[in-house]
Amino acid sequence: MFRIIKTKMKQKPNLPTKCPSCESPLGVKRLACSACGTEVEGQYDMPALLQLSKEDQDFILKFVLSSGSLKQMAKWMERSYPLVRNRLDEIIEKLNALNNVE
Amino acid sequence: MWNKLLRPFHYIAGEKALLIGVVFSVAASVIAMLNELHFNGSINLKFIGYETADYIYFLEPFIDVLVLSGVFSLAALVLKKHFRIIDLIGTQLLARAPILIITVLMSFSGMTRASSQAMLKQMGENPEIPSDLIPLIVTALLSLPFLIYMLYLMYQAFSISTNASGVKAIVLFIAAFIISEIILFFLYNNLYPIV
Repeated sequence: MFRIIKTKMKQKPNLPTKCPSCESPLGVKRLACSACGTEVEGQYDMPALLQLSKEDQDFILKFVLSSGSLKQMAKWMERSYPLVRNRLDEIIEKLNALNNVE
Repeated sequence: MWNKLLRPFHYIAGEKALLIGVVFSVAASVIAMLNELHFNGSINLKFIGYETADYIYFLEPFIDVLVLSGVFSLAALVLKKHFRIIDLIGTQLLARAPILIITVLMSFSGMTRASSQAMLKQMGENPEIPSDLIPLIVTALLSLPFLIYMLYLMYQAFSISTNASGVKAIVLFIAAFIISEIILFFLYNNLYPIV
């Protein structure tokens, strides 16, 4: 049995997506409303997008905010167009793999 | 700075690479034309046995790049990769930038078309290594790092433009490169017999 020890972090903590013990994908067991304190308990699968790394999620966020323009992304990231497109292809591969697992 | 020299295509590709590549290519062609050197192959820089029209010197780098890019496109299709042809052509043309330095080095070697022909004739009659060959050997040795750098850039250009990596990409790059060389050999032999 693995127990998570609560720590006070100065930075916003990253959402863990894999079990630190066996590396299996983690699910959501409890959700809480920060306004009224209501808590919901259950067994929910983590959405595929949330299982990606923070960098990949940031990339997707920027991609959506740039209306899906890889040229705009390349400008923002100061990288070449094919490099940005390759990064997107890698994320697509990861998402396909995650969807296949699900 | 080093990162940009070692991984230029992380920063430049497409039309921008094509434009910079054209500038390097034209500069190299001017020096090649003044010294009667020909780019008759993917990485070739040679004297040929006779005079050609001036425009040939400017046309050769583009023929080389178009043939290479065409064969690399087929290799990318084998790998089932998405790519833009402008990235392949632009990055391949820019990858040839080090040939400008090799052309400059060759221009300082003191070799000319006439002297190279005379040397070949002399070597045919007398198998001893002529003393005139020493500057050429020194130039070849000085050019070698730039030639290796150019090949490295050509692979980088292929890899980034087509998102190909790993052993399969290296094998396909080598195979495509050899096929391009064969096509270019026959193409230039039709344009002017390579002596």
